Amino acid sequence: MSTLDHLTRLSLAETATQLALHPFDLVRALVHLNALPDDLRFERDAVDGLRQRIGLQTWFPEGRQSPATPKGLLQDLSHQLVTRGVVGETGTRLDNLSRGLDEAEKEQAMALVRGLHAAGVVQTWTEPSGLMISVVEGKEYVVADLAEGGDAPDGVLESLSPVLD
Amino acid sequence: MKRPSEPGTPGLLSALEAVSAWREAQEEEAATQLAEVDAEEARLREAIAELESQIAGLETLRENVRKRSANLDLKELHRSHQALLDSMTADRDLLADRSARLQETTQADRERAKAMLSDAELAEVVKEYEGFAEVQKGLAALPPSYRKAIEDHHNAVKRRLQPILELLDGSARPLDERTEAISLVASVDPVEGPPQALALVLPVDAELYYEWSAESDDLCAHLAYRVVAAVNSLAARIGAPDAPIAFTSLNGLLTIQLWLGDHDIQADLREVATGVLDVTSGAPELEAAKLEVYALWLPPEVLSPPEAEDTDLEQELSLGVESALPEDSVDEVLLSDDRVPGDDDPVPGAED
Repeated sequence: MSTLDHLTRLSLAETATQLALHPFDLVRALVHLNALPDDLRFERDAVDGLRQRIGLQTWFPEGRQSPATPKGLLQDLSHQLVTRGVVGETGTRLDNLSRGLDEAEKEQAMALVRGLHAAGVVQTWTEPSGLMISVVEGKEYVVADLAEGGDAPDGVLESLSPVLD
Repeated sequence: MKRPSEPGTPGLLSALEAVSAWREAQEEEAATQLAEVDAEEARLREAIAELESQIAGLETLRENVRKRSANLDLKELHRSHQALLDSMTADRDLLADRSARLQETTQADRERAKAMLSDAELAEVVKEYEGFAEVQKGLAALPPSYRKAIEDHHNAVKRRLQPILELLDGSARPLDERTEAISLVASVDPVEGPPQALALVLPVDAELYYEWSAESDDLCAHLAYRVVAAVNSLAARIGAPDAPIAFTSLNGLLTIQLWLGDHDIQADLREVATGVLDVTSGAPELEAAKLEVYALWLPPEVLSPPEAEDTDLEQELSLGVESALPEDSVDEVLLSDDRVPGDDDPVPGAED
């Protein structure tokens, strides 16, 4: 980073990039928090605070070993959902599920989430700050099995097969 | 001497012969007149047939004009839709042009700041300024007098750097241009009764949504961010802060849709929106670009007019009137946001 960069504030798009969030989603979250700066510029040291206030999490840190197959990614996702207790009304931002993944994996992860959603294993809803997701109460066992590397039950497998095959 | 008497032609015969001659003459005259009457009749019948043909033509024209009049509403919609696309595209180009001009001024400011930083003494001051972030972490542990001394020194450093910081703060100098107006199209559906959806068409390329990057920081992006903020504020003000918001493209123009079907909106959406959508106020970059944004309310049918029937089109073309049908309609299906797993997402606790 050049000296000039040190002396400038971040643009909204640069801040969104650092937060791995779409700029429109960042605007939505900031309006909800009543924290959108008038000139759409951010102090460089404000990013971490924003990350926390918006509830952004990075489930897949940089440099992690990518799974070789979609099933491996499904296992990783399920493991995160289980260990973080994302069930029922305890939801998490949908974008938390893919933050840290590369573009190809992101697409795959969203396709898997769509499959789980179609099978009624996860549910999504909109909150003022953005789109949320959680495991449907009573379906925790499905996600727990997937987290252990087990096979999905028939009904769920049908929804996931376009991605897994 | 009296000539011997010859048998003379009886007077009667002569008289009858004269009658006969008269008759022949009369018959000839009558035949001539009848031929003339026949010819005149034939001419008149031909003329009548021609007039009847012209009357039939008028009937067809009357029918065509009636049909055309009956479709005026539809044609007006298509023409309005085309006018919307044309003028919004022109506004998008104007915005992009002013954006490029602003970028030039901010880049020039950046170059000036760079030149100022080549001064060795000033470069030292910058180092000190940058190092304050580290120092700041330990400030709380210091005695108040020490803390104040360090903070005072930092403020002095900041004042020294103020000219550079002002050049780099991202605010552009006003362009030497005439102030122009650009449109932001708003539409609520339905026009009467509880609103189900609000759509906004921006004079901004829809690619901004699909292909954004850390460099998406020009005037066009700023307008989009401000309108997205306005839509979210509006949703909160009308009691629907969790209403889904979708982004799509109308002929390449960024379109924002606020879905209110799951909410019982009592507020006058248009009245609330009119204030919130005044994005020019408080937007220094628009002021610098000499642009004012006006929200124009249009019926939803203008944004997405129904298709015209082929027969109507043929009719229109047969009368030599150019079709006003747009080539493209809404580019994408509503709620096509691929980040959303489904469009019938259950909301916890809302199923009952």
